[in-house]
Amino acid sequence: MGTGHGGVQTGNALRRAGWVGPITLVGAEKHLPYQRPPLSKSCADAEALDDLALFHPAAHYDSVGVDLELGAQVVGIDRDGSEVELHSGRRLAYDHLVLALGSRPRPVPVAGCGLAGVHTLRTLDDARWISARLRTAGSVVLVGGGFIGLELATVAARLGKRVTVVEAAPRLLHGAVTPVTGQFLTERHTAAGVRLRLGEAVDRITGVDGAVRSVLTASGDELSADLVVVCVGAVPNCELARAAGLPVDDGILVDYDLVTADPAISAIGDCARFPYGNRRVRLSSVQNAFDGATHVARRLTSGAGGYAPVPWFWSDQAGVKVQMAGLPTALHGGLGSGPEEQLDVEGDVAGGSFSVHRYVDGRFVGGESVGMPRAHLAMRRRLAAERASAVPLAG
Amino acid sequence: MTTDLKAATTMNLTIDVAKCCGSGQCVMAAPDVFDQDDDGVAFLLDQTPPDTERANVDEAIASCPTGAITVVDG
Repeated sequence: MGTGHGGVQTGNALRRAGWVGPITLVGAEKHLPYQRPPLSKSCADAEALDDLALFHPAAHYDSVGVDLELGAQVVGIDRDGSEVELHSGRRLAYDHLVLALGSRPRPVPVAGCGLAGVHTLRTLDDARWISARLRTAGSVVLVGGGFIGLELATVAARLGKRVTVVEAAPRLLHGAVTPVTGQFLTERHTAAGVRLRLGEAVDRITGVDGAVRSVLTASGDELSADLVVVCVGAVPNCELARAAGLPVDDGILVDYDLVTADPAISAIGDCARFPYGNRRVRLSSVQNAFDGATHVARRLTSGAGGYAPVPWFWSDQAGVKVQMAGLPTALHGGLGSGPEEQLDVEGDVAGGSFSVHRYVDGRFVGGESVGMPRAHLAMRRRLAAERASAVPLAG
Repeated sequence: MTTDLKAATTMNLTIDVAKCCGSGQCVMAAPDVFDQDDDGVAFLLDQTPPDTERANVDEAIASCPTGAITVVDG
């Protein structure tokens, strides 16, 4: 269930691993399965976006033997009967069910979110809508200075729009990147003409005749806007799992092999919370969806066990590609809830070619790099070596 | 596309640079065939690698998260 990176890769990896039984990909959207990263990075041109985002042409699924059930809303999982029930009333039987349900934009309790011109970004249809709106909009406000907000700000600024990012935290990508990279990106975005309002909450969004007019900040500023995109994180899609009686806690709980409390059901990607060292984490990334799918396919075909990924992530913004390795600080016990991280900076930060290595108690925990892809790969190899030498705790 | 390991054919590789996300998966799988520029975008060191690279290239294609690599046997 799910036709994002996790679902598509599950099918591909199962066939590659020699799975001979039928495979069905079930997704609520009517589009052929597509990739989400380009939606925020490349939404300036809607036509190019369709090609860029497409995983495979329809013929691919025929050739590898994966049945697509698109536009098919799942309304329930019948674990006793080993069936998935669709909105149409049809039921699909399964021997094993993989939940790759993803996440959805976190709603914000701010008045005015229902006005025309206020949107969130998750699906290809969202991206097409924003793309069309960007053509005519003069002023764009991004609520949230995370990856999606900053990638959209980059696209909008490049199109010559008046762009403002309103972020409640005191700095960009707080907890997601180190202060070194956060400051670097702050300067690059500012130089590109993006106005950054940090440490500023949104009070409400105002409109005229049902259409957005401005964003009012908590400190009383009024930011005029023809387009507002609210990008304040995502929440996992767990409702179907919960309704089926599976344990859920901000993510469907799975063991070290990504198996839920029901051995016939796995969960991967954004919707799953899995053991990582001595904690449980939920990761929203291509890496986690892709590697989780590959792991489940391997487990189902050869029984090989233990999902021990090396997290990595990337973002294209402010004219650079930022590459990250390891769990972000916010998930690593940093930000005041754990030991302080020591940073080791190499290269030329001002020149946009640098790497930041993060250490906790002398142990390397990850880092980020800009303009140094080899440093990024070296970080991932180092993390992989450390993970291989660590003894996993019981899940 | 074929994955017949015994075929003594030539692999002809292409990279869709617009799709490449700079993950470096291909460089890790087949370092003699793929490299990255300073922005992380992959390029080919060898567009028609020898058959001894076939397993590595297969791994590179399978592990590319955006499906940016294509091989045509000729």
